[in-house]
Amino acid sequence: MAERKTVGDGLAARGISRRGLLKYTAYLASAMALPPLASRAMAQALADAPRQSVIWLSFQECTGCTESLTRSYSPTIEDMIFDLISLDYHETLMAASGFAAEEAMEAAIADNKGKYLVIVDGSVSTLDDGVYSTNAGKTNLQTLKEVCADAAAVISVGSCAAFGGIPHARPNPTGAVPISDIITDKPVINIPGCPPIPEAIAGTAAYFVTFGRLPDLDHLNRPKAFFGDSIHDRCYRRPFYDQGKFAHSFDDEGARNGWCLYELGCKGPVTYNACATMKWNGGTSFPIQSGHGCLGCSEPDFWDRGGFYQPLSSAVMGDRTLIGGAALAGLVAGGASALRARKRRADAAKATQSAPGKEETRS
Amino acid sequence: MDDTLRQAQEARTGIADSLVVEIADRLTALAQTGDQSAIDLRALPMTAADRADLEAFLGRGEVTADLSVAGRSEVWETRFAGVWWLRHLMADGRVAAETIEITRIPDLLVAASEDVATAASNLRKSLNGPGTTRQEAEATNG
Repeated sequence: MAERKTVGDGLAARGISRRGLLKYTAYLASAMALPPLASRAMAQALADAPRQSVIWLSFQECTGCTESLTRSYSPTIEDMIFDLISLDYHETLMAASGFAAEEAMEAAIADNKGKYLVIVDGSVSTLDDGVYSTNAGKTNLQTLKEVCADAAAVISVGSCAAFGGIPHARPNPTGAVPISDIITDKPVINIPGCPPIPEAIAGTAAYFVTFGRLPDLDHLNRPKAFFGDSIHDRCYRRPFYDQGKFAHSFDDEGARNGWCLYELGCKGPVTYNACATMKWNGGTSFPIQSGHGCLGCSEPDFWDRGGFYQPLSSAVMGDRTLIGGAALAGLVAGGASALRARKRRADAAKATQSAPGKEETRS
Repeated sequence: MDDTLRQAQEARTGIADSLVVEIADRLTALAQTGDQSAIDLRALPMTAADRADLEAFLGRGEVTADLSVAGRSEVWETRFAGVWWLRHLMADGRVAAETIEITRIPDLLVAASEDVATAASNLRKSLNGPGTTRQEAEATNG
């Protein structure tokens, strides 16, 4: 909008000093793995930038992604993302309803043509022209195409928007597809997870506002800052994997001793996410710390890839030879962990590309 | 906290020793060329024991500042002048960011010109109530 204030003006009006902004950018720079001195330039750029118009669309989803972002535990700093963006449309959060809500979205699109950011959670129904999920008299498919036509970029939040997620799971009755199958002429960033880590959502949006471009992405279009390492590589139980110490059932000695959950189906070795370092619920814990293996929720088609409790070597998310080999290497060679991590990363990338269900997603 | 997690946090990886060498190099650079730098402690896979060792070695110097900015922040100069430790906390006391800055004074401690301008305006308003800044008073009297 023409009268849109800068981020600096908005912060000043709320009594937040430049020190507050500098603290926020120090937090962001750290979360995004940027050089620490970048926080100064980020603070200056943000102070002078207009608040970024954001339109948030919710399709076939459970609202868990919105919950993840808005229920973060430390309001003072994590909530500052809402000083950076102007959330012009969000069905769950906005006060307006009915025609007024739709008019707000149309106004935001008209005022910020080519500049606004679209965040989508949920997959898109395509079967029978997408009639299985509609809102305001339109199918999600129509809405997505119309709203994204003049967007600067699209962020797919959650595994449903990024990869199809649970609606896409077999037998996929609504013909659900990820956003990137429909929007092919704009940059689409994926922030998968069920739900995604709130810092990953806020950090990626803040990066775009600050630098006006997208962060470095991996082969699945996920920001490398959050999805660069596997859960396994950063897991505090990793030393037990290297020593060949595994829990074989949820109540055996190994489980009580906190040994590696690989044999109980942990998908940590082929799952790329920041749960092991950023953790959940205000940094309290993450699934493995609570005694349960990783489900692999930030990887494509995690729901359909064998049982959650079957070890990777028997029911794998990818090529069983590759992963079986990596597991064996882990048992035999305790020392060269960095080399193995690199190999596993390459293996996992290959495995993801040749995974069952992948062709189905992209066809 | 389970035993495994405790053991992982109590392990020493050797990162603290390496960091001290790096900080020494950077401090020499600051002394000789004025080049400032910073190290993001959260970007390194340090255990709690590593961090405690580093903090104990660097110690506390002449300056300590306690900031109340979107939650608390602690800033102190270590016993090596020019080596500053910055620890930002969230409202619940969790560490949001932690860096070591090798600089004469961290930017965080310097009052920003925009904040000074806002403060000057606020101070004038609070001195005599609204409408009595010097310019306004002169305009009225003149």
